[in-house]
Amino acid sequence: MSLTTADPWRVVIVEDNAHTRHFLEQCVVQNPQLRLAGSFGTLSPAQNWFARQGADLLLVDLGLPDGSGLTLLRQVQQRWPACDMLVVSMFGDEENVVASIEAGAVGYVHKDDEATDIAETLLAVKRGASPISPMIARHLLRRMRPREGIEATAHPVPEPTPAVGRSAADAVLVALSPREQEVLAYIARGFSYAEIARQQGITVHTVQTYIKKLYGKLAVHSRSEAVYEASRLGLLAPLGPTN
Amino acid sequence: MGDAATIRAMNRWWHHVQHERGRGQGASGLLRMVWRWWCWCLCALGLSGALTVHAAHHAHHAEGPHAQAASSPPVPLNLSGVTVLDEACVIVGAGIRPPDDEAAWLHTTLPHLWSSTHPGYQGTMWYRFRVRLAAVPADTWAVYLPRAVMNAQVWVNGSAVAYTGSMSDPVTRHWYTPLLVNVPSSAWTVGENIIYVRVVSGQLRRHGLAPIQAGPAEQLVARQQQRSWMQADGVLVANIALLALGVLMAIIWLRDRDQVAVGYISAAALMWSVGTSVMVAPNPISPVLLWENLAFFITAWGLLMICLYYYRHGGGRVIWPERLAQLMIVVVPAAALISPTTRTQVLVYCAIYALAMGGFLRAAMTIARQRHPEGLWLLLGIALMTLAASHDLLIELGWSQFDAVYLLPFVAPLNVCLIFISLAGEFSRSRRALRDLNRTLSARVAQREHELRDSFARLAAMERAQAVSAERSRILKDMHDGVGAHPSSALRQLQAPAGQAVDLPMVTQTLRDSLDQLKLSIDAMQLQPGDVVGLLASLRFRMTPRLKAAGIDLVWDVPEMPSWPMGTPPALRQLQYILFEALSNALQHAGATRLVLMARQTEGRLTLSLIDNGVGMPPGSEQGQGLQGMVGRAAVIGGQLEFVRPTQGGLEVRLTLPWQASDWSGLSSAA
Repeated sequence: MSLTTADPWRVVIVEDNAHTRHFLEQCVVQNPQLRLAGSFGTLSPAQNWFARQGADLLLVDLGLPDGSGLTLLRQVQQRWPACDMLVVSMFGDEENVVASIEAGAVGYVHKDDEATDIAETLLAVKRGASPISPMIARHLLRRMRPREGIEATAHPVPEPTPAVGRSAADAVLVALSPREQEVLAYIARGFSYAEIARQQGITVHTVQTYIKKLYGKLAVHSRSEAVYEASRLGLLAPLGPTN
Repeated sequence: MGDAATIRAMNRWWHHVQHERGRGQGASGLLRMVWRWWCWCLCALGLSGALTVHAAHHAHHAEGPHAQAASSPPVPLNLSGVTVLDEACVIVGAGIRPPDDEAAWLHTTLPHLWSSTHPGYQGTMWYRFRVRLAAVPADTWAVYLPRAVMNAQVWVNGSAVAYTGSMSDPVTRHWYTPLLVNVPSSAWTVGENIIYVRVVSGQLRRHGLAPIQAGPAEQLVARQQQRSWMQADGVLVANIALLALGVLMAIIWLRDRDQVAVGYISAAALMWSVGTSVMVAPNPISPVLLWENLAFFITAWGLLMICLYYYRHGGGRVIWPERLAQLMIVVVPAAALISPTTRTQVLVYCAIYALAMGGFLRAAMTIARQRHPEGLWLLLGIALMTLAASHDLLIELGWSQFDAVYLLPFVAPLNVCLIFISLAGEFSRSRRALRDLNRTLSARVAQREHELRDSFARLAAMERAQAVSAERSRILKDMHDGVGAHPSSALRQLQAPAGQAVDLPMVTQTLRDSLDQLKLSIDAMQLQPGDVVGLLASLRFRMTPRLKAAGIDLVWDVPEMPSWPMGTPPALRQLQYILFEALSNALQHAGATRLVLMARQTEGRLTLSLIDNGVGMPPGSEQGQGLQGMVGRAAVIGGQLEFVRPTQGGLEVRLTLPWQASDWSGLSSAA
């Protein structure tokens, strides 16, 4: 499906709080570009649903009564890679958001956001954008390192300090392009997408796509880390050429 | 006998010490006193022995040569045994043949010391012994000279009997060699016979002749062999053994240079063995004067090394005696060369004796203090050395028998042997201790590791508990001051008195504030210490929906800044409160369309300004509770909050903070 098609995006909602679920459903229903394909209060019916069919968008709460939304994120990411997944977060806090992104999410919405904002976020994601907060950007800068041989950017960026306990995982570095690095640094300093676009001489849309790409890289990075850690712990055969 | 009694006494004392050990400190003072008494007794014993011998010597040497005896009757010789001949006539000088009977013979009693009758005389002296034989002996007879310094030749009835080495320069050095000359039966006649002994001098020796003996060769050989063993062969054997020990201990010292005492004793052993060997060697391989001096100062060095050993034995240094010994190492050869006389040598020996007594005393005291079983061997060595040194010094002083045998050539090697035994004992004790230590070490290390791990675990747990407790207090304070206040306000707003409409927009705003505070509180928890830019960025992000809803344009003037040294988590949270409050006020009351957030770090200050283009602050509103709260919070983190009214209108809320602790006072005084 694409923007040119008239068909609305199919949205699946998984949220245990009935009020919030209803609110989210209304957000979707009220927007003609979106269609509510499914709505669940617990994890397992949602898993069953995705076992049979896919969707264009998934809105999932992390704290579900019968398990973690992260499980669903990983399953859907594997089974339906075209499905863009967002997390319903109360606070958009670093810990939950980063865990979600690593599980394959491309963004998050706040429970207290306006209905139109939520719908807009969903559509923006389908257009290739991803929301990000300065706190998440700072986390990513600490976590990721620029590719080797890339000169420091003209603009000052926060010193990327490796997080404690990450030394083993650093063996698999996320390759950030200089432009991605710059954009991330601006976000970390509190600049809006519009201000960044103006300063960099690019469109807001381009800035947004950088973020979505970054999220993708982080998810891949986290999978690489998992493989690396697993092989290090002897859970997997050593990496090598396969036939 | 005396030595055996001494050793017995020492053993008794030792057992007494062992028995008394453990009786506490009170007994140790007494022990020390007893010990000192014992040391002094030892020295006194040595000296008193020496004085006794001295007295005997004086009694013995009461007589000098005189003219009366030329006509004394011949001494009858015992045909079946040995006859000691101590009455003689002497002629000073004369040629290489016996002088005639008419010559000026003087009577003397042996031993005859040249120094007492002819001091400083160098040359030849002839001694004549008139003896009577009842019959010509059937077997071979001999004349035995226990001590004739430097060399002697025997004539019987006008014929030289045998060759005993060179009688002219360089004279064979037989000063310490017992000479035995066989006389064939044919040389004797029935009746009167005359035995001549020609004695020649050498360098630096106490010249003279001890009583001679005549009799059957078989009997005299036994006596000569016995003395020869004591004075030559035995000394050689002892010196070879000493040399070997010296080399062994030198190796020990070379492997561990810290054992200075061992180095000294090895040097002592090597020098003493070489020195005394040179001293008793009959045929010098260099000019005699050099040879004599060499023997003297190598031996003296050896003795000085023994002194140094005893001073160093207990560890530590005794500065003056050591310096004195070191000085003497240089002075002794110089003195021997400048003034090559027996007097110089005797003086040197006396000085070394005094030095050695000090060393013995110090070492003995150390041994008594340390009370190691090996110390007993050292004490035995010290006792033997004291006696032997006293004895030999008396010989050197000429206060002892002229033909006395030196004891140090045997006692010194024996003493080194005892030192070596003690060293071996210490070594095996150390090895045992090391083995025991090794055996228990791993267990102790494991135990210590275990204790350390436990201790670390406890500390870590305490730290965690403290951190959790601090974080809990902070969150509670947060909930109390910010987040918690809003729902209760909302509740009161909803519970409006009957008949009064509920102000729904106000309730909504209160709840929004509550949520925003909650989100900011969470952001604050995740901020790195000192991250002011991160704090401002997250504040902007959280406030964006409200700014957007209010249609306010925010100008973001925040440069990249280094970490704020004063930015502890509580300080950052206070900063967040102040800015949130200022932004909320601007949104709710200012009626502004444009906001500028400016951050600057200059001259030890961190300045944050929020400037709006609104209606400004009504006069007197600084006293309002909200603004007073902001001012109070700023003061808590050492800052100053000002409300500036720009000329073009609006309001600037300016927060000035010290950049680091040292800037705080400056800011206060400026304020």
